[in-house]
Amino acid sequence: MTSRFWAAGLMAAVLMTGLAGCATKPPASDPEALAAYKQNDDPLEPMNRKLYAVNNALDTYAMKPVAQGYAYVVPRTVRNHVGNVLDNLHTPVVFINDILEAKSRRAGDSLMRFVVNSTLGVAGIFDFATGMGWPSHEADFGITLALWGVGTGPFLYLPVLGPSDPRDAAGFGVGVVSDPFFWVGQGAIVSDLGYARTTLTIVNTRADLLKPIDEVKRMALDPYATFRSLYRQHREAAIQAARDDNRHTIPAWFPQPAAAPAGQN
Amino acid sequence: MRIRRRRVMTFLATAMLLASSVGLTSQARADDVSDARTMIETTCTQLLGVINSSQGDAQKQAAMQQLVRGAVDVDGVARFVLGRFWRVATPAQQQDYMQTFRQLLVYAVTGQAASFQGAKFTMGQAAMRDAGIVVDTDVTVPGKPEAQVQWVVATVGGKPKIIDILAEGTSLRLTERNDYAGVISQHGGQVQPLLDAMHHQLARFQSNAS
Repeated sequence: MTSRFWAAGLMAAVLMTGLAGCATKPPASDPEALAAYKQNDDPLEPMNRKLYAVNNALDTYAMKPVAQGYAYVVPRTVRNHVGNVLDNLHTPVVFINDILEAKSRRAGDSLMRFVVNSTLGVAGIFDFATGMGWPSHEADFGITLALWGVGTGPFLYLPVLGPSDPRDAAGFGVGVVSDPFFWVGQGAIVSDLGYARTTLTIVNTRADLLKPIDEVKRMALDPYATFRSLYRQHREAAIQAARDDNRHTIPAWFPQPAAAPAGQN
Repeated sequence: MRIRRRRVMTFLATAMLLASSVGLTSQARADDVSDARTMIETTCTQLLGVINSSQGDAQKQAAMQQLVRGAVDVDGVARFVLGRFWRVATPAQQQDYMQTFRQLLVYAVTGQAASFQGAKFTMGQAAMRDAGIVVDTDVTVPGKPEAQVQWVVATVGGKPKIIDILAEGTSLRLTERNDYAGVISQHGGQVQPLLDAMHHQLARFQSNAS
């Protein structure tokens, strides 16, 4: 059901593209402006800015007050544990993407995180895996597509979802259906649990971001351009981190080979 | 025979000269890298010392202002942030921009101070990269996950100075440049609306501070 909701949102975004028109491309006589235009890669900027305004209003009058209320009632320690449980439920998706990215050590980290935190960590309430040498990392189908060589595409500001691009939007859809819990069980209780998890993920994440988002809005003169820049840089850094993670495949608890003498690596 | 020998000698001399100059520059680079790392360690220690001290807000702000001016290449950052629009601006606008930017940067740093209360940092590696010398640090704030902060340092006027800060891979000066370019491009490429927005923001910060 949730996927239908997202699909409807995406359709609305595509329809509004036609209504709102495109950004004007600078003439070839102004090479610097043209370079900046290409670097921003935001040909749908007028529409994106309108959607940002809509999302910002939604956030200001609905999401943020809810998150503030939640953060007021629920102490930080509990929120951190809620975050741990939600992260743990999401770990299978991370694992699937580690495999698709052919990052065996990352996949091993994810597997051990899920095993340790689901058992020792009491259904994910405690994150013992990080301390045991299996820290969390980012992996989703958007990053996987990037490692497969799919280009970013133009910047998109999606209703409700916020900053994105065609690659990440596709990745988001695949992320929803590749979650094993999406397919587990039937009936009212299971779907209610699913809704509860989605709602809690949104509220808990927004509560974590209360200060950072306020700070960006306090400092930015053009919040839209700032969020666009932050989103693009953050995704690029996550992709680069995945690409650069080429650890050799001997686990930490296995006897390590003698360290190479200094100056040879 | 003689010509060949001379050629060989010239070749050898050039090669030795080149090799020694390469050796010298790589030594100079190694010195720069270790200088940069020391500078970041000192600056972070002093900054967190001020933030975690029991001084009043006004005293803290003054101490941080002095630290920022000493450690950051403020004018270089300002020029980078305005980018290609620097040449569009009139000399009066350039001067106004520099002056306002310097003041805003201090508010940007001091505004962040409260969220770093009780923070600790550990030094990581330092290495020469494309952007400059990048010094890695890990910053832990109580109750929050550890964050990776990288400091980009360049030698300005013979001294190591901070030219950028990368927080979890996002560059502050690049974000700022895109922010300012956003305002300018929304106003038909004019610099004055940006200056107006900067003045407006500065007035807001000043009225909040007093």
